[in-house]
Amino acid sequence: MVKKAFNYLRNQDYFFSLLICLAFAIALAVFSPYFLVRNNLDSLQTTIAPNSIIAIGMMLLIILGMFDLSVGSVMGMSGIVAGYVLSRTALVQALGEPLVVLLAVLAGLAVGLVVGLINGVLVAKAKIIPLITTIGTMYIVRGFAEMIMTSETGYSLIGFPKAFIDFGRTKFLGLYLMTWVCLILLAVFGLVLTKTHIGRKLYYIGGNRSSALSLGMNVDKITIICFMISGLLSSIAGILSVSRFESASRYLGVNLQMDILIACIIGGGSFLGGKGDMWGVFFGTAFVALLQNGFNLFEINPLLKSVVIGAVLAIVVAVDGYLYLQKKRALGKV
Amino acid sequence: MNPNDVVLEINHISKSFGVVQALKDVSFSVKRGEIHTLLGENGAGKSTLIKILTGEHTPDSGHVVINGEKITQYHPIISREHGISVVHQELSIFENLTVYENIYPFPLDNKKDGIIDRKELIKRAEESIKRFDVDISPTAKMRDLRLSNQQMVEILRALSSKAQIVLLDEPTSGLNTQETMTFMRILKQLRDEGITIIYISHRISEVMEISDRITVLRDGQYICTLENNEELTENILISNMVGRDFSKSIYSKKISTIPKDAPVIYEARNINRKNAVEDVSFSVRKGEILGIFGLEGSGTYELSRILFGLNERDSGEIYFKGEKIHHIDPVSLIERGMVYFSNNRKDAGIFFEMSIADNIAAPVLKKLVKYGMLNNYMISRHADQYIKEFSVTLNSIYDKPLSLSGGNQQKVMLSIGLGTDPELIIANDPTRGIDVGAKVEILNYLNHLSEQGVTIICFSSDLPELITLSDRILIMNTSRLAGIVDCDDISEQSVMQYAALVQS
Repeated sequence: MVKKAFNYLRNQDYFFSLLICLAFAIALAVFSPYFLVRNNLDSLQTTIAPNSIIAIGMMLLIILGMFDLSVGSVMGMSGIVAGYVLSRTALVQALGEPLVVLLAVLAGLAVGLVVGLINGVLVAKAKIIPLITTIGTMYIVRGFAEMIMTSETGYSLIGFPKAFIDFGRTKFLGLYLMTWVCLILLAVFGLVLTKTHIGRKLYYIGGNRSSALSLGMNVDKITIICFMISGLLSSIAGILSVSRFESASRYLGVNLQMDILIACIIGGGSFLGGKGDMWGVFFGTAFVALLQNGFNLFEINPLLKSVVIGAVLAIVVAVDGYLYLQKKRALGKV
Repeated sequence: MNPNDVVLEINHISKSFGVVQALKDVSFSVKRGEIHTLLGENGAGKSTLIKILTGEHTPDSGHVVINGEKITQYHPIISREHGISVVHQELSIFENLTVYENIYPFPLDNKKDGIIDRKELIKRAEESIKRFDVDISPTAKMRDLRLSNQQMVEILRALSSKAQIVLLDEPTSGLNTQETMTFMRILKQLRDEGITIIYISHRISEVMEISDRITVLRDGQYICTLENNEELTENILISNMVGRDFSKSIYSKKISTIPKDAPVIYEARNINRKNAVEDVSFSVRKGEILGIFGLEGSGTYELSRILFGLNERDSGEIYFKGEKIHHIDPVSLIERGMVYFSNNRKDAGIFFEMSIADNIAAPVLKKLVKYGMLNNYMISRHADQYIKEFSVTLNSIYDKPLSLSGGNQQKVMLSIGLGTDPELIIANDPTRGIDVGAKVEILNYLNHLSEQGVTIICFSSDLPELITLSDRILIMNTSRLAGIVDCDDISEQSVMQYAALVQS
């Protein structure tokens, strides 16, 4: 039974991320007395939850054989737009708290949907590669966010309605509401990817684009939808973070896209497309978060952090590529 | 139902790609429930015809009639709606997915997108696998399957969509004898169920075993449709496939001037590569042009790449000027004086983002240096020399190669290779896709080089071209060396005998 389960897991794309995630968590729990402390676990949640939410969208694109570098900027912009609406005291007095919160959330989500639509149309219809498209929108969106912040004093927007802040503080069964949102989204997208036809289409298209096209699959439409989902999820992550931190910082989401990409690749995604799942999203982001957490707990020079993350990424990709090549050789295909 | 119903009509179809006319006014019809084979050499136009039927190409003129209905718009979805499904020559599979997902890429029973009934899909996949008595697990990952089984799965996919007309473009090229026999049985089973099969192959014995009728195409033209009865022989088919009138063409048979005692300069011994090349050995004498011919899937393409170290080999040795080459890779081969001409300008051979001058100078940059820096004058002089030699038509050597016609691009590619003054040239389809004028010039130039003592191994799918060029022709058939024909005995018929008939 155990052996069967192990054999099943071993054949999953996320197996490696599960393994190193567990190993790292156990090591931290054994060697650091501060790891299993509530404060630390709370702070881990505030990293893992929004990062996983963004990584869901990134993983969809990676399965399609694409990626989105604008996610960090979109997260920041959405948080700042929502925070901007929420911190207008005159508006709150005029409309009342519930309406302003609703307005703020909708404005935040609109940012992601619009940027996602632009990304999707540029990639699918104008045939500009995702790298160029999303680097472009990454800078444009970050620029707009900076413009909003220059009219403000200080680095963050603060002073939000109580209802909004309460949402960020509330816990259910020891987990923040943002973590619950994250888990629900993971489950929903996990089911979509495995159980619905539209979800499976991503694997067909990412696995062999020209064959999918010749079978008559609507590649362009699915590409646009996935970019919009990626934008929307980045917005959700941004708004949830603002609610949790009780402030919208101008540094929200800066350079986040690389952490997310790396998490997805460690979680079993491949830049070649056709591979990846929601387990990988969770274990990948959890691993990157645990790694950063480990550096804080042991007070290691934070500059070493990127060295280690980069090394792990290189090893994961190399081992994966080696195993794949060996398999192909055994079948006489190389 | 009347069994003589015409299910498909091809009416005066022509199609050209640039200067190459792939189909010229082709007309014939296919009956319901027959196995109809399209036979012809490489480049005869079979695959183009198939792609018109699947809706991937639109004919320049003429039209297709399916079940009495004239097709006005060519698109894969429209063809599928008319009951046409296809298995292409190149595998079109999803390696990252399972077998059952490869057989059923669409929701069952034309349901709209929704929840996948995994169990039902697996059950149906199992049934269709069982129906044809092959050993594949429906839940296996596609990438873990042998090539032949992958091909089988693709065939199952073509059948799963309830097709009336199944087009099979060389479906057996990856199958061994046993598997081919199973496959033949399946085809007959399908025909008896009333499905029409259009079959492409150039394995003549296979064609004669399976077909009800055979249509022969040659150089894009319809030649004849033959009933497969007792009177049909392999020789009748071969003479219809070849049978060109040489006196009226640009081609002429070469008269070899290589002395029998010219030193052997190059030798390949026991080259092996799984599923592609089996134990091929040959040698070439100095100044000789050795043609290597084989129909698609015979292993010539792989052999050409192995000889230049572009593909790995499982075993085999190469000797150049009596010396064994230990590292068969492009860098060391070029250093020893060999050069490779790719058959694909787009893929390898030309740097499209650089000027024509920079392209031609690429292999000899070291020699074009003055005071430690590249010298533009020397680069342009070097390029000019080749432009003149090949009479490349161009505006300026500082233009990019894309501004040139296909034939002129090909000449630029030859110039790049010849810059290193090679002693041995391995050419892979050096005149593919270019017009007749440029073709003649390139053939003449290759002949000229060989007169100067350059040795040439020329792979080509164009038989008349090889006959014009070669001192000897080596023929490959199903991965093996089928025979070597000496200059005096070279004819289309003699070469095709080796290339198309199964050797026992």
